[in-house]
Amino acid sequence: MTDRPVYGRPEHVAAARSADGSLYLMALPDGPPRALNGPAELIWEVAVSGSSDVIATVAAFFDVEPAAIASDVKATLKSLEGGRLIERRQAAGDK
Amino acid sequence: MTRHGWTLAWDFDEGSLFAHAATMQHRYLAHVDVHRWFPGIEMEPELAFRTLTEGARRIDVAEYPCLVPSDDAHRLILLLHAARSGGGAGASDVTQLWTRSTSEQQEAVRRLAEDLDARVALAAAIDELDSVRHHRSYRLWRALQRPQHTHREVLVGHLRSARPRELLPLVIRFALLNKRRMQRQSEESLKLRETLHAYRVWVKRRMGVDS
Repeated sequence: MTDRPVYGRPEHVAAARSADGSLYLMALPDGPPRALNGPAELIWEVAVSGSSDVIATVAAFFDVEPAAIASDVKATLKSLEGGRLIERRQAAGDK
Repeated sequence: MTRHGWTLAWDFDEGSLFAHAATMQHRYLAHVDVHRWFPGIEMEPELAFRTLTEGARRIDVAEYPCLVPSDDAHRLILLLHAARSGGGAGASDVTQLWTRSTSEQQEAVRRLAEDLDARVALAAAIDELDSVRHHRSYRLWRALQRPQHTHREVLVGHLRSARPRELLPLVIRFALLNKRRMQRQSEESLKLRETLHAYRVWVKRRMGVDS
């Protein structure tokens, strides 16, 4: 396995936006639902896109060095994974 | 549902005289009414649900594929619901789902109502009740259609439309004070005096004294 895990969106995740644009996610059927703020939403979107380097992609978006946000992004990914809102996928080339 | 965190908020016999739905609640989600039948559909519930399921399809709700009735069935169910809201909350549904529908859409809803034995309630919703005057449930839907209907009128309608085996449970539901519901609303046990007072109010209301 690589130290840059690849993620995907589990089939059981429901997603809805409120009128003010906030993104709500819930792992069905039990939840709990979670509202994602701006950075967390971006991290989720990048993660479920199957990015091979979530930290670098998010850093590029915010125009910062990857090292500056790495720990925050990792913590968010861990939280999203713990909430069953993302799941690890096998990266191309991994066996 | 209980395995997934849902609990009973209101049981079937704690709602309307139809006793058609129970309300389930969840720590995070909105309340859900679980129907064992739909008022207005006079076919046996099991057959009716089978008919509705045959036309069901999946659409994305919150980006998740959910099984829903066909468009025709959706229209019909909302129209049947409008039929018992006495021209109030359901009026806009009727405008949107019937008045603005094409004749082909209306015909499809009529056919489905025929299949489900829901012609009378549909007629009440779309203001064609006179066409079903001969039907046993006519009086019930005529009463429900009137915005200022009384409990007594609704009871008489229910009695007229009920099958023999439905009569006794219906009368019991009508006559008995729903103490369980009152206790939940007051969040404590009712004392004898409160119960008697509530029963007096209940009987007066049921007999149309305050209507």
